Amino acid sequence: MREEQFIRAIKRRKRKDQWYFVFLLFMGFLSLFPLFSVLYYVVSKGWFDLFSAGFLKPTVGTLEMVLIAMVFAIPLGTGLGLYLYESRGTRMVTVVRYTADLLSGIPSILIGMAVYAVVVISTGTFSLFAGSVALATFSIPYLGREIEDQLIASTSAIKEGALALGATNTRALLQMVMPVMTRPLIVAILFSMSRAMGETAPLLFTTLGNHFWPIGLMSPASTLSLQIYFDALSPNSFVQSQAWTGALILIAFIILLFLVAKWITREESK
Amino acid sequence: MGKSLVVESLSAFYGKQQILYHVSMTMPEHQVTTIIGPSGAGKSTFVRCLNRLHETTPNARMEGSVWLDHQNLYELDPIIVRRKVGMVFQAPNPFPTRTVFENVAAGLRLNGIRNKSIISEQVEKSLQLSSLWDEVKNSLHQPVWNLTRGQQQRLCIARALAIEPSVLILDEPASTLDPLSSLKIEELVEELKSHYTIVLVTHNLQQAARVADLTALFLDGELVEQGSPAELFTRPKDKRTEDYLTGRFG
Amino acid sequence: MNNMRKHDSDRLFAGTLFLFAVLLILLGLIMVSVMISGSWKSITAFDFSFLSGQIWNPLRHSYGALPFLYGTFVSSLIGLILSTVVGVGTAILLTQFGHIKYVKIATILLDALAAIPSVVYGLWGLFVLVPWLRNTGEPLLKTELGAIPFFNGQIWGVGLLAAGLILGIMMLPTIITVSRKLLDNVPQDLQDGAIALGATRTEKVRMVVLPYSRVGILGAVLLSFGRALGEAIAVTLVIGNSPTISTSLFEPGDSLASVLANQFLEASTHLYLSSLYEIGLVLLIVAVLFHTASKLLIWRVSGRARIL
Ligand SMILES: Nc1ncnc2c1ncn2[C@@H]1O[C@H](COP(=O)(O)OP(=O)(O)OP(=O)(O)O)[C@@H](O)[C@H]1O
Ligand SMILES: [Mg+2]
Repeated sequence: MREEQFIRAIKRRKRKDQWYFVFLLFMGFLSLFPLFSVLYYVVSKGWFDLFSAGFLKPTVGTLEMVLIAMVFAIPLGTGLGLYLYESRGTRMVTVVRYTADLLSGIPSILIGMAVYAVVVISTGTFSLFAGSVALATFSIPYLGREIEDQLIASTSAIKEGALALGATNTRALLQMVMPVMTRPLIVAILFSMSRAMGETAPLLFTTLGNHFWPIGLMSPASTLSLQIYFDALSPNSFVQSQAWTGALILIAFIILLFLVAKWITREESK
Repeated sequence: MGKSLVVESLSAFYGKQQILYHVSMTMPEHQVTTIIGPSGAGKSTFVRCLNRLHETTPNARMEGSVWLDHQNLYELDPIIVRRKVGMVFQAPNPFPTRTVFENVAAGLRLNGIRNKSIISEQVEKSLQLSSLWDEVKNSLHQPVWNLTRGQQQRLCIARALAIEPSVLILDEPASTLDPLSSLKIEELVEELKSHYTIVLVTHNLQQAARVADLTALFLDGELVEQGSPAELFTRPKDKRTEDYLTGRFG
Repeated sequence: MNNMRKHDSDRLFAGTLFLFAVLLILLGLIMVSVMISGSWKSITAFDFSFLSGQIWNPLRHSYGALPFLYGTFVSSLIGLILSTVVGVGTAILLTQFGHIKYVKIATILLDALAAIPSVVYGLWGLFVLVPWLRNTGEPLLKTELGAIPFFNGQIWGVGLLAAGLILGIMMLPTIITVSRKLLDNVPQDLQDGAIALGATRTEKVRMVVLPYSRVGILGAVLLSFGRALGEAIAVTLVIGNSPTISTSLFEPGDSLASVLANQFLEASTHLYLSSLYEIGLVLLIVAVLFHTASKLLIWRVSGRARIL
């Protein structure tokens, strides 16, 4: 190895390293560019109409639907999470965990079709309730898996401590573990709410959307996501521009949920 | 090839925490310098400053200077430094997805050598030097996981030797190996010292005494005492050395 | 006696929990059986010609799903290529080149990227991306790369390329997040081995970091590909909704999920509806296959640890 040849090679290698770095910076820029562009357009095109009454109905519809979905999803998801945690290692749990991952990850429009076939057909009407069922269908497995992970991560030590003190399995779980779980549980719920809020595809065939106040659980209702979708499809440019307002409100709610989640975890780390 | 390595007032930090305090010592050419001391004393940090690996850790920083052949290593390009100062780590860390041959050739290829015959010549020579050739010459193009851990560690030595460094650092190279492999590495160190300046970190005091020409004891980031093993182990000058050797420390 | 009671309460607890598991399995079974029973008429009527049929024209009772399969795979493939290059590049930047302060900010921004609903991406795609493609992006591609058939055709704005770009953006967060975790898990002593030989950062990435994590990254890519295949809303807004098979990426197309979003409630005959259910069944099978393959890959590299 001749020295000057070696030094020349180093120069070339370092230049390559620099170019590679520039390339990666560009990739990083490309990753974030859509975010900034989306936020820019949503805010700049959406804020004009923000305080007109047009979005009150879908906003109420969204909140109502997500809350009802959570009424199903929280207890069922928690139960599922506890099952996954308690039965670790059995063959059954592998099947259940796989199904859970699958259900929370399959195309959400399929969930819409299934709920249409089961709930809408049997009740004879598109409804806010059917939409909630669709949202709950992927929220339950999502929450269950989240809760299982949190249980594994944070509390096996505590539980073992409690067992050593002579508590029964059940008591150990409920008395010692659940209080510690409150915060991670709330965060998981907030995240699944933010996902449910933005979903459109499962609502198309279940809630349908309309322009009236949600009269009751068993009638079609408008939500923010559906409103954005239908407004965007409209040939009328005024209606199109309203879609941006809907997007702004939707994103504002999601950011709000995010901030609450961040605030809760901030408290925890102190 | 070997040249002595001179360290002047070396201090090292991780963030605000100081790990080494003004260490000065000379590691002479064609000799084995062993570094001993309890866990956490800063031995690894010290040797990682010698090939400028320390500074690649986030927030890590050092002060002082290291000289090799009248050149301050901290004024050279780190890549040049690492070609002059090779290193072998505590646990064998061959490149897992490469073959035996490609592991040894890796450093040569990095340095822009393309000539196939030069590369295979150099690979054979390095494997001979690390006394691994006879064991792997028929499986040069097999994946490295077929080797035992002891063989993998000697492969790492061959990998370091292939780019012809002047100094070879071994940071507890045998601590995760079985006694027989450990002994092999020790013999290897003895053989290699005629070509290189060798710095060997070890927990094993007997080993340190057997192979060392010079021994240095680190405690809490300070170089407490250095000298020939005969002196250091039998007539320590420092009270702390005596405490450490008799097991009253660490 | 006391012991007995404790034991019983545990049994009761475990039994109750088991019910939740049964419920979940039931949900999965309902899903599958709805799709199969819904599509039964279509399956018996068309056999496998359903999948190879190139014409979808409900008015003439012609139901061929190939255009949708084609549009789904092509648009997702465009998304996959773009998001793999950009996403893995970003993950390398953040884990191997990043300064901690910027990494933290980038993490928050990437979380935000993942939180934007698909309908908002669709809206942005339709009113920002599509006009840009129509006026600037696609004409540029056509003049520069027009020799390649993919980039030679009439320019609409909406079409396979627009859908692919939107899917690429939507796939990014998953690829970045999973790749980052995988890259962070590359043992430091392997990396030190490369650095000690004099490797630059780039060379270290090439020699150690990527070879060590490539199987897992492949898993992440497959996972997000599986999700992209099923995206309905964002795709339907920008793909053009035309059941045709064209080489040019500028041409409008349609996808499995998108045709469901558009036509499911409009199906006027039993066979029409059943064909749509069969499209749903095909989508389900494809999604399950990709999901399973990606889980197996990620599971293989990360042991039992859950990376997603
Ligand atoms: N990456 C790091 N960040 C912060 N502190 C570190 C880091 N690496 C090591 N340290 C600290 O530096 C001190 C010295 O560590 P070093 O690894 O040099 O010790 P050592 O003498 O090699 O010990 P051992 O015999 O266990 O290998 C220890 O207190 C350790 O906790
Ligand atoms: Mg050490």
